[in-house]
Amino acid sequence: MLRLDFAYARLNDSIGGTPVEMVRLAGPRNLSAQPQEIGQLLNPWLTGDPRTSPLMMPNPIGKGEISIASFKLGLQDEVGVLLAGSQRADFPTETERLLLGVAANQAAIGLHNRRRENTERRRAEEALRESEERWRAVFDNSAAGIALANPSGRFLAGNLAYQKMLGYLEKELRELSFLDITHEDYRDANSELTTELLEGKRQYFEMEKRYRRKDGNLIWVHVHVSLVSGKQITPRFLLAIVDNITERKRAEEALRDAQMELAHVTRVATLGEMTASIAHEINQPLGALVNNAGACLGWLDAENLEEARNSVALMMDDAQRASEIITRIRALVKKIPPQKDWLDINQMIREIIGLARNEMQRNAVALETQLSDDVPLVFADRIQLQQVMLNLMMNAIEAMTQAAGPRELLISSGADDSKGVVVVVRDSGPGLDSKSLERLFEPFYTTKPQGMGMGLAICRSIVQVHGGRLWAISNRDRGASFHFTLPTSEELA
Amino acid sequence: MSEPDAMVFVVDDDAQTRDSLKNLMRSVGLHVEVFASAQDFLRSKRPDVPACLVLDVRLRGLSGLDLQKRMAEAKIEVPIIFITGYGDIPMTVQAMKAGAVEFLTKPFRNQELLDAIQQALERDRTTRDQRAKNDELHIRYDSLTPREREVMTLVVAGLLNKQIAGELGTSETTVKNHRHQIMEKMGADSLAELVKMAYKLGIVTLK
Repeated sequence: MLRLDFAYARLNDSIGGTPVEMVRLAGPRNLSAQPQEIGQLLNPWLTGDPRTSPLMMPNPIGKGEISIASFKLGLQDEVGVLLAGSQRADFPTETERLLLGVAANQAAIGLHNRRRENTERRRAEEALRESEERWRAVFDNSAAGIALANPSGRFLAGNLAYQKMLGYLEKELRELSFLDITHEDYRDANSELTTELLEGKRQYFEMEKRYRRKDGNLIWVHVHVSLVSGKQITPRFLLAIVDNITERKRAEEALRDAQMELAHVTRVATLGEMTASIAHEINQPLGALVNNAGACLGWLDAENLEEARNSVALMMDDAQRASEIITRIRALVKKIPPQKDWLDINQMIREIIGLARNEMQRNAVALETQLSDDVPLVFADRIQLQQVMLNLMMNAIEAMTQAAGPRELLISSGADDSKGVVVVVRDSGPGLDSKSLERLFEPFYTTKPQGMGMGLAICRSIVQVHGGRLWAISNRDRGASFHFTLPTSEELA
Repeated sequence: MSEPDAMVFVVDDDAQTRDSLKNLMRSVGLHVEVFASAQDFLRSKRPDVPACLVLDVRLRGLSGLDLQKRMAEAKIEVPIIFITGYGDIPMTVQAMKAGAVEFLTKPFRNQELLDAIQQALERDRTTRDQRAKNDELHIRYDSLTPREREVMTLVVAGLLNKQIAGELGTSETTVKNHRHQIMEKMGADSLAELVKMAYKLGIVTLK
């Protein structure tokens, strides 16, 4: 049996802090014994060797003397010390000493385990906090906008970059869904992609779209959206990484504008070289119109109304033809943004031949066409392709006038190996040397005294924009051939 | 249908232009035949009436000037009115030298063309009359006996009857009779007229 008047335990702090002291008294609880005061009284037992320390001391909590038993907890008291006292003179008995020793040992082990657990938990907590802080810092400091939204699209959080991009504070964002700030034109596509993401049909999606900022201005963004699957305590949410690409878009647009401008300039320049031919093309139907008008007067004089009416019908055809030519030329001269349409490449070629026909006659060029009926429609910009065609034909005509010998121009169209369209413009001019072949498509490379050197460079970029290729070869016999391909419409669509 | 009194041929490779020219000419009562190429024209069977050709200088294939040359080679003596879209002076000169009647540069007035056509037809008519008259002359000349032809050659050379008789070893009376026969057969009223005929027949040449 263990009968004590008091027990005092002092536990050292493992990392050098103030020790923890505890006192348990057997007597009435109203005694206000402070553990520190008792600790001071017990000091000789706390530091000394328990076997040599005196076993008696004045009772710190009552009268008379008291017998003390002390036990180190842990090795070299690294855990603490346990003191027990009793007013009985025979304290501690052998049994009591044994029991106290066992208790002290158990306490030491328990404390030791507890302390280790504490340390581990603290370390884990610290690691967690550090990780959280690190991720928070990533979130806060990321140059890319990061936004979290619940599956219905309502914002949960948005980092500083995101807030800055949009001009909304985070708490304002929480009142909105991402569709609210997405430009109308992109909402449907955006919703559809989100639905597919939520339904697990895709891992993530990316899109370029426009946001409307809080101040009403529109910006271009690239978004990468993924679904973060939920855990027990956090439901699943959408994670968007957002880049502001307004500047890039603006630059692209400026580049496109500049290219368009340049294409337009060269187109007009090419037409400028053909003014005489174009004038002739227009004069032809106008001349016919005048003839028919004269005829009409003649028939009226002869009171032949049927023939007069006939003449007027012919005049209308003539006027129609003149106006069609003018329309065709105006379309080439006009500066309009590219517009892709389904078109018959052969018809496009015929229209350009119509414009350049006179140019060929003037230069005594014999034209042969081999237009295959078997070419698929292409999805392309008519004006741009006409520009390519016109440029290649004018180059061919010019090349042939610089060499003696027959002037034969062959224009052919057909299906190419990959089911696309291939058009070939073959001349019988002086041909191309290897140096020219290499540099032909470089901007500002020209062999003509008045050339700008932009024609073929622009042609190539036009063909490339349409997903095709443009190249030149020297013919085995004489002259050069320019080939260009355009992919089938299905590939593009 | 009876043979027309005149024909206008048009060669132009532009269908609309071709048809409009045909319409214009028909409206003033001209008979017209149109061709799309020089070759078509050369291959065609043309009525033997006064005619003219309205020809576009720039034709695909055989050009207008080429056609003019071919026609000269083939002795197709139809006056040509050239029309062209360009004021090409060297070409105009070449065409005129080769005998073109008119060279019209587009745009031209309808009346200009119609006037040119009338002139060309007139000219062809005259040429044809001339040619017909020459033919008549030959027939008359052919009706002369060899002796009469001999006498005629000496008469138009300016020899007197006596000189001719001496030259031929015959009497002056015989020469007189021959001379009378010649004037009769040739239809000449005077010596001057006979000389003119002889000139046309190539019996005498101007020295």
